[in-house]
Amino acid sequence: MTTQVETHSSYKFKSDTNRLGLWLFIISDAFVFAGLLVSRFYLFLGERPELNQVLGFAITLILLTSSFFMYRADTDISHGNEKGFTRNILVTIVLGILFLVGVVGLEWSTAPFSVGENAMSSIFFTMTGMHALHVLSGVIFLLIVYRKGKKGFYSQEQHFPVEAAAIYWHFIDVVWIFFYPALYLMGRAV
Amino acid sequence: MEEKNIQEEQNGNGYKEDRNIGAAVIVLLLVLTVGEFFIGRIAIDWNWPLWGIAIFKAALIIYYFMHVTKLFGSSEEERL
Repeated sequence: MTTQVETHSSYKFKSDTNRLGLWLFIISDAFVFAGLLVSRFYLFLGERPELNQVLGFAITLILLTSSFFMYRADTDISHGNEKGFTRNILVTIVLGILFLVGVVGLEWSTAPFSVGENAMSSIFFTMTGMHALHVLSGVIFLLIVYRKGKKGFYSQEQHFPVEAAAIYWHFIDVVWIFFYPALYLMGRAV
Repeated sequence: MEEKNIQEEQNGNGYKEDRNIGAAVIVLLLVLTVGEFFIGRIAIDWNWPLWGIAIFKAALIIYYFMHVTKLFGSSEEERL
């Protein structure tokens, strides 16, 4: 009995349980994005909005690169390199903010339509807006983890919040991997 | 000097290998994205290769970066 209680209160057990919960959340959130993706193709199968191709390409590279630095931060803390962890998570945050500036600051202002102008503009702003909201929440999550990391909250043995932040951040990247071709590459520009 | 020792200790624990995997994956992802960009520019009605590339890229991230396999095994110790 004592052993069972000890096992259930161990950090490893809690991490395993939290990880499962996190993945369930990720899967349920993925359905929201899948619904948006299906709507985009249901409304405009062979067409796409006339968007800035170079900007779309650049922000995609930025988000992919941010995922790489997040992976490095996660790897660093897993091996006890706390300096590397804080440095890499900071780079991830900066790249995440750059992505937001690219989408909300540049892409939205140069888009060939305004919000609610037609069905295509609605789907475009909903898809990019919903994704940007996730990026924003991811950046906030990373800032919290960064701050706690600087204070020495995480160690090689106990760092589940870092892993959770990394999984969430990579999930945002996976969503954009599908949104990028759907919005910028597939179909004829109208 | 002390930092060097820590680095060596970490390297012996699969640290370098993990970092190399990350570097290889990001290079592959960037190359695939460049390919995707050009396919989108050249072949307008050619959607299936773009779907294929997107699925492959997503699989790389889910497997290597998100460590999905940790869901099915006992975790923390495995990575240490």
